[in-house]
Amino acid sequence: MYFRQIFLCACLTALVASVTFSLYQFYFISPLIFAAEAYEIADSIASEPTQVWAPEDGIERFFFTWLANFLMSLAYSLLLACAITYRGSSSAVKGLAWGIGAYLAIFVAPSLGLPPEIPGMDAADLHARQNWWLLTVVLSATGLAVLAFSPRYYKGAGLILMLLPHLIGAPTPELHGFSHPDPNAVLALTDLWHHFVLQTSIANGLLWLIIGTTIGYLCQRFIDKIPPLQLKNQ
Amino acid sequence: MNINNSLAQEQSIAIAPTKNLQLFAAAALGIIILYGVGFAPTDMAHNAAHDTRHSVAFPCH
Repeated sequence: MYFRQIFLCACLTALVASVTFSLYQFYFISPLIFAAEAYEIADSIASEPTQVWAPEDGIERFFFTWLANFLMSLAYSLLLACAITYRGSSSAVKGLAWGIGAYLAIFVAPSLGLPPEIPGMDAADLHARQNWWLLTVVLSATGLAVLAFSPRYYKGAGLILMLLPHLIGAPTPELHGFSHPDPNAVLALTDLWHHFVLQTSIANGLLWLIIGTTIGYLCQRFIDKIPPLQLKNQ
Repeated sequence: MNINNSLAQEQSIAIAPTKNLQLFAAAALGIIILYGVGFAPTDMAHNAAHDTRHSVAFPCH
């Protein structure tokens, strides 16, 4: 019964969060991605003869982006709802606090080492970056949890856990920036990138604000208020 | 009365592991979905979720 309640709460949260996030993305982030891709495509149009499936630009691409946003929000909502329910009772304010924590651990912490990237940027090996991202998110989340819930004596360990991935260091490419041959294009891309970092920071903050408060409220409404026996037997 | 009490006790004892198991299952589902959206290496998954991966700063390309 907990599973069903959490799943339904997460679906509702993901619907609200993904629609808002997609609208923000549509107006403020996607134009930056498309502008960066224009440089990328002009650069590599001759070098890719085999085409794999990709959504057509326009409505199809927006639909798949929304779908991916929905599934990602669903996954985050499920994880957040599990953590909140495991810790005990819930409320919109508690959910907001969890959302802020998640924003710090899942967006801010990895972005300090691997800033959000627009298409066409030079980057280190994908697997190395994915591993570092995962390590950073897991250690930052664990560190924040230790800071928030452990006795005072152990709180230092939380700080060390949060700092550890940055001491190890994010994988960096030999040449950071853009390998585009035209210096004017590099200037334009760098400008696009700065806007992109700002807009993604706002958009992800918005995403976690909505996920946190909504899942907090829904958990209080649909999980806390049901007596435990009913949760188990129904 | 006694029977009812012991029944309630038995049920409340059984709740804790069931609750944790269900929370674990829900969290596992979340992680699997997140892997599919953010990390799955196949070209189709990458292309479909491309703009999302960039927007939430998942390592991409």
